[in-house]
Amino acid sequence: MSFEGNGLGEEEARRIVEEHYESVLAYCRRHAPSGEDAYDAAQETFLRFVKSLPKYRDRGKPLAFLLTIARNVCADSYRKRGRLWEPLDEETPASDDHGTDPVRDALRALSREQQEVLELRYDQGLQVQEVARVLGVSRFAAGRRIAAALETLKAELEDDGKGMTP
Amino acid sequence: MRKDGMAVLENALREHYRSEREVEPLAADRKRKAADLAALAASERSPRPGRPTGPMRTALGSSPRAFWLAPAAVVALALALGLSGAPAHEAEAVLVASGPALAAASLAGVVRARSCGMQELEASCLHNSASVAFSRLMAFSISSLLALAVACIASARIIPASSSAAFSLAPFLLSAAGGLMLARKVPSADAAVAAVAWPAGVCALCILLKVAVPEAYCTAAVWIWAAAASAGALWLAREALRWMRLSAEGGCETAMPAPFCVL
Repeated sequence: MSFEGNGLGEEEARRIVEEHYESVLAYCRRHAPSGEDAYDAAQETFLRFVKSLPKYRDRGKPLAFLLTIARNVCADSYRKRGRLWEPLDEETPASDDHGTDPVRDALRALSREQQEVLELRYDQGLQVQEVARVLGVSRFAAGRRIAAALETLKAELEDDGKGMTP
Repeated sequence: MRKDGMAVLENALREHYRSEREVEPLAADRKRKAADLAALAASERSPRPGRPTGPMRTALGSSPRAFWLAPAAVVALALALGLSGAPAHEAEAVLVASGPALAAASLAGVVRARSCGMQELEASCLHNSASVAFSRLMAFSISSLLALAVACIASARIIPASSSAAFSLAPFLLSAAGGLMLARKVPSADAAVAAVAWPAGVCALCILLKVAVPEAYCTAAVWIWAAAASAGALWLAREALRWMRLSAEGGCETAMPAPFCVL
């Protein structure tokens, strides 16, 4: 799909929201100040996407571009509130009813950057190059961050005695 | 072996994220709203042949036609007074009342999007709310100032130019600045009422002053009116900037109840 230098039609805009809303909302739920802010951030992300399309020069899946925007929108939300990023509480809907999940517990021990890089790679399914674009780093730096995050996660799981054995 | 371990870990991560998504409530109405807004924004961004473009044209095109009656009425009244050789006190009363009247008509157009709850939507459109608000402020201010200038010239035979300028500018600028401030502070539904109520109050105060303290309109007091006009100009500039910032942010509601917001 190509949006090179063109605007979107109404139907096309609607289709992109339908296709990517869950992915963008999932990202915003983890990175916006609150659950309600996450919905607003997801909506704002799509609006900024539509507005920036005439200047957008890229080919392929728009998800990486959408997540780049979502990242900025969430950062803006925190800036407006004068708060720093903090992980969602245990009581948030996103984490209810999960039961015991060793991966979730191990992920919580990771730094914010490490959680984000793993989320982009394994939740959003982005390629390393797309992860690099979202984070604004080189492809090699993104690859190194993913590898380091995986190593840390593995160590956390092993420390808890719940290591992943093939 | 190490590679296998990583593959298992990667699969576990994917499974974890997949299960998280399953328990997340997918708010269908939020999704539909986002899709509707994106479609609307896309349609606004699509160039339409034969339709005027540019924030100024957009601003003027969406402004109430009735606004243009106010400067026309002020000019007509001033010309009538000037040509008929009306007494100075009548001309002064018309001049001080003209400013708030023009400010009220202008603000009714400027705050229209906010009072109709459309500021957030405008902020996402092709010509966003800030640029349209700026265009409206400029268009209405220039036309109002031109109308006041014509009124001053028309009454030049009755009142000295410096006095008429001070008498007309001070109420206009203070009305516009205060009206904008109130429209920004009160809940959006009350913005239009607040924007008109303040100029009405200023107008009433000026007329009351004219009746109760006629010395306030003597030549010696012109410098006070000039100082008020200068202060009003600075205040209006500050309020215009704040209004544009509010427009750019989509018109966030104030959390405080209206009576306390103005304090």
